[in-house]
Amino acid sequence: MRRLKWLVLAKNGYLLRTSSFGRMRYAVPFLIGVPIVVAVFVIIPWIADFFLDELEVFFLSSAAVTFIQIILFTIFILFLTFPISFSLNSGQEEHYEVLLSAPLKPKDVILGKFVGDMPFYSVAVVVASSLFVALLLPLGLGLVQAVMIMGIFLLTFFSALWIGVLLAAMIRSKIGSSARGKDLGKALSMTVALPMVGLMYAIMSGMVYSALLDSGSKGPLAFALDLLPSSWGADVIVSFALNPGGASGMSVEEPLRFVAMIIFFVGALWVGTKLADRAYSLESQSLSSNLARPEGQFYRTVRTVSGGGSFGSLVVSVFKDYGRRLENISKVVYIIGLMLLVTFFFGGAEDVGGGFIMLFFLLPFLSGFIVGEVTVRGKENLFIYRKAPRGEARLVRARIVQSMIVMIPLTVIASAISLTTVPGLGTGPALVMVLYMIALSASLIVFSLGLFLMFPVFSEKPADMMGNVIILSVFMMGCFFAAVLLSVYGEIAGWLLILTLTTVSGTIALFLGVRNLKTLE
Amino acid sequence: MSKTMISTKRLSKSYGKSGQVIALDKLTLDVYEGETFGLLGPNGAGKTTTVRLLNCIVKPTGGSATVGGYDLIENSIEIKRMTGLLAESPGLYEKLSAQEFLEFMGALYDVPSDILSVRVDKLLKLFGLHGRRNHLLEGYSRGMKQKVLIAAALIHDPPLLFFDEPTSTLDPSAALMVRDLMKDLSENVGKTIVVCSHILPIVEELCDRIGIINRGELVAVGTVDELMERTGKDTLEKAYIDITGGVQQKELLSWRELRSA
Repeated sequence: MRRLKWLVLAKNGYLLRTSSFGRMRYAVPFLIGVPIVVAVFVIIPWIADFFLDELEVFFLSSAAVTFIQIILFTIFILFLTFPISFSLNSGQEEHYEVLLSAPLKPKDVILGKFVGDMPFYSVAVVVASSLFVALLLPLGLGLVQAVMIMGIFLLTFFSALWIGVLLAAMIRSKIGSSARGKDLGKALSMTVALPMVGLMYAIMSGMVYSALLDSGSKGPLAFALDLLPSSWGADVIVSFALNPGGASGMSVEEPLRFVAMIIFFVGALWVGTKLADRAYSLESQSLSSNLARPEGQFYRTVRTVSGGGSFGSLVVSVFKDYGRRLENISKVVYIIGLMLLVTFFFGGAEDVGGGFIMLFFLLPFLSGFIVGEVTVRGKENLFIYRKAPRGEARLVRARIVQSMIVMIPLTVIASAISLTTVPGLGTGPALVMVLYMIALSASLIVFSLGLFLMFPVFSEKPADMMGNVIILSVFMMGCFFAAVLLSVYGEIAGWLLILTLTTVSGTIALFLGVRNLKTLE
Repeated sequence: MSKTMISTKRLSKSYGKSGQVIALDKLTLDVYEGETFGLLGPNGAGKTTTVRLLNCIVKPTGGSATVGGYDLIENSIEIKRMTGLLAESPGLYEKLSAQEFLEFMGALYDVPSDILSVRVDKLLKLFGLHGRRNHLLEGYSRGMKQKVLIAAALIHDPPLLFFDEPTSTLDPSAALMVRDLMKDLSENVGKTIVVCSHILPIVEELCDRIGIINRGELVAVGTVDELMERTGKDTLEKAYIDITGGVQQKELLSWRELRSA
């Protein structure tokens, strides 16, 4: 008997994702499921009982539909974006080539990926939907209604995930599996997330909420949202909250909307399987390879700034390998974009400290993403330096110079953007603050490099890099709070404390990092 | 008698917290100046670890060694300066062109810039890469990358060269060229060469002596004739299999015994 190939692939996906659990992998659904059931049927209803009056008032208000509409829309966009971003970043063409050389139909591959991914992404959706059901249970929600609410969340999620998986495959296929295609994919995976972050900020700042509430059902935003199945579900949920009870209390409209959601999902599934052949085409789009451009004024300047000679050549080589990766450029664009978004949605500071708070927390990310590249090409790449006389020291120096050349201009730009939010700041103090941020950036570069050499990351996955970036961010937070405490002695004392702590810790981290680099095997 | 270029005494390397994974076990070996020495052994036998140790890339956990008269622990910088290495799985800067990568490697080994530019040019021509010198390495085939890496190992013209699987990814004509290059380097310029390879005819033709490593231990060393004589076999291949233990003939197709319908 022939096996269902998509099921084989889905199982393989499950095994890959749960490999870290070892023999316990088959217990994973229970380990996740049991706490959810306890939370839904015991803990959340018990808590919700205390707020029954407030809940009733909320669901009777006009804000309820908007609120749920936004939540479901967020789920829809999140699960549509996530597979695209993940797939573009991971660049799994080699796996696909193995799959396509096996007796499989392309739709098996895409269905297998979808079903394999489903259990993991669905945890978040089940938690969200359970939370809703649990909150509504005290209002007297019937069993059919509860099941339909769970269904609405799951259908929203299934539709989004399926479209996301399909789009990811099509984009991957379009950009090809060449080295340039992989690089482009990684760059896109970062930038694809930026609009999503923008949307999240817009929701968090209340802009979307206000726009929907103000325009009612007539505004362009409301009209656009109404086209998506997430909004059809939101209306059903609010309707259930207003008329809790059994199936008898239901009007025709709710089941119709629910069926429309099912039709949307099944339709998307059908269209998707028809498109699968195109989605998984691995034919190379182009056989041309990239040429290295002749060294221009920029690299000549970098060579001179680095002191020329052999060391200048090293810095230029390191810089070329860094700068020619779109992925690296996209990380910088992402952080700067993030800064602009935060300034736009949450800007408006009372003083310099307020204006720079965001920068304090974004600079560790920026330095981490710039410096973290040092080990991602693997140990073999580091061994090139290990093999050369005093190679480790040269690597460290070259990386510091290269990172500073990237980071300092960005710091100046970021500082300037931050300072625009501070009213009435003179040129002199602004200049001092920019210089201060440059010094802080330099310290952070040293600190980041030390950290990434102490705890090297040998993979290009941004998630792996995040460990060191989080250490840096937590450190900066600690410094910031220490500075706040010290500010009783004046604001300048606080600023100086941050710089001193970062410089000292950075120097220690670099010393330990270099020691680790020399013994790394 | 030639000068000793490499001398190891009970050189060992183990990994893991309590050293439970022994990669190289008490290697005692001499390689002489101008000699081409072949290092053979099954996958995972310890050849690459030996090469990494002798290039000061990893540190030994036991024993001692000198390379070119320099102590492996005390004089690692001098040793690095006098050795060239083609690693088995080398790291490359894929976003550099071949020319840029060779210039980078030359800078790492402090090759004067006037010599470097001429040498890069000549090496690229020698390996037939001059026409694609400005293409990024990411677009190169495995064989082309291997040629760039061989050129990188030669860029500072070191007296001692290590080639770990130099011809494994090359087409036949490129493999012959590399073989002839190694021969020339040894016979005409007096370089000492250590070659790790599974391609026995090349080893047989090039190497003055051969060492066979199995499970971290040096189990045999000598000329091709000595190894064949010791095992009573008439080819190096048979002698090698005899020393390292091969797959039994009856096992080769045993996996087919249970056949599905």
